[in-house]
Amino acid sequence: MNNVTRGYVSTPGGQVHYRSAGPANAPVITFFHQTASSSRMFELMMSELSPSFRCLAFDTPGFGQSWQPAEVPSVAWLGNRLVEAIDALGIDCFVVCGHHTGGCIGLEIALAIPQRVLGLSIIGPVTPSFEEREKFSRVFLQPFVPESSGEYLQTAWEYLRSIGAGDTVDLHTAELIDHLIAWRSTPLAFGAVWRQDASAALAKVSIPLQLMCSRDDVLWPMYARACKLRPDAATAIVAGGDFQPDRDPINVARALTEFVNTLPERFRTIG
Amino acid sequence: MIQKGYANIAAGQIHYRRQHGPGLPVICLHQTASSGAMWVKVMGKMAGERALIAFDTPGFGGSFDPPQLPPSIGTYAEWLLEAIDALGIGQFQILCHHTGACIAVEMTSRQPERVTSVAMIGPVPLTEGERNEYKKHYSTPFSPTASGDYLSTTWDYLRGLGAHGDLALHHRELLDTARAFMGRYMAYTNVWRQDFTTPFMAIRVPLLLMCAADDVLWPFFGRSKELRPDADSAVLKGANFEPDLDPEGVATAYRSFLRKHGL
Repeated sequence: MNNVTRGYVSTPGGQVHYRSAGPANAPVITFFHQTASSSRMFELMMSELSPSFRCLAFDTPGFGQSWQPAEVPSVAWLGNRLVEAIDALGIDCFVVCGHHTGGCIGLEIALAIPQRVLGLSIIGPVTPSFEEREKFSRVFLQPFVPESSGEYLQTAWEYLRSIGAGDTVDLHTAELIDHLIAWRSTPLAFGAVWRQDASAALAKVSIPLQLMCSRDDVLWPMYARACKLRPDAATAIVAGGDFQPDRDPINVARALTEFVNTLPERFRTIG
Repeated sequence: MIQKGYANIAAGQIHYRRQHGPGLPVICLHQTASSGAMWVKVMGKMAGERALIAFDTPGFGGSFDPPQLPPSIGTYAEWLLEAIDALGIGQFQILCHHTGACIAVEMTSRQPERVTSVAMIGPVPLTEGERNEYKKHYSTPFSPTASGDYLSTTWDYLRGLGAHGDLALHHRELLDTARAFMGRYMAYTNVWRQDFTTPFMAIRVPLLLMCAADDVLWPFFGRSKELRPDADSAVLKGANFEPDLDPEGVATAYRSFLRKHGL
């Protein structure tokens, strides 16, 4: 049992599902998840942060319980859909925390509406070279497709183990469910991610930044590159493979709080 | 168009799908271990005709998980009545399936003045001996294991119930069952200790009994009709997944039942 509640917000494309925690008048931190998880991955962190912040974690369209788009033209398109949800909730200024694909989305939101995004924290920044984008587009595209034998279930289970979800059976099961829900959207989102020039976006973004990663994250090699691209960014090394918010929530929440506390007074006092 | 949402009750959040329409709302209650998603096709068939609301029972779908084994099936009925209150609904009708029928008779027994009709797919008037027998087969949870072999066990179990008639259904049911491995155990534990027949006999509003010949509960369909010769009845297709595999049959039977009784 925790203090996280769930809801839907209506947007032009359909209903966006979200989780929320914290006082309604507290500064807002928005959370965007990796492919193919859902806002569930931030629940433990949100519990940690909710005494001080209003935490809003969204299921990206195509994932969790949000509406299912037929196409995902680009990561920026996903960002626009999520800003529609943020607008519909009446949120003005906010901090973004994005994990993996969620970080890619956060970059696009920061580029689109820099005046409203007061800080961006990326857990597992994605900064692939052109060659890496080619390579990843083959490895991370469509890990499984339902078929009548049911063998795809074990494929999905082993895929999740390979990216570190096997730490506990509970996490493995929760991620399996999210991945099964999103089997159609996963290749759409991954396709958009590998088409995005995230390195260029990271270099360009003009708001305060935090870069966070764990040494056993599949994106760890890109973390050093991200830090080099943005030497001005705050940094933090946490634990937890590709699932830091689930496996190391206290340290991730602590690092995020430290970053947020360096932001202008404007953020910490909005209500 | 179906809208999703949550009804907030003291115990937690109850997730639902809702299709607006005329008339007294129809409350749809699902079987174990499905979710309100099992009513989406029937909702589509009845679009514009009726207001329908399909709840996810606590422990299933997007609803809260009971922190411990609920004391009886009546507890589920009380939670769902509270959810109906939270949505500002007064009187309503019930369309239910398997475990949903077990919950429906408890809702009707608690607040008979609010329920204007009951339609059930797969009524469950089992004797105590039969319930003890069923308990052996349907009360062991498919608990997740590190190897992941519970997934093929669950997949094959759902094939045995007829979900393989449609791959999208089989996939969705696998997902719902995996999510609700503990909810399934809790609900079935209470189903097999419920005396369904007494509240079933006490229903005083129009009653529709439906079942498919390849439903596991088919043997009890004849008995339920004998117990309630006053009830309307209809035979459907679709094994244990009639609303998904025979949505037209469900909608046609239900529509004609409502019309006959001026509901």
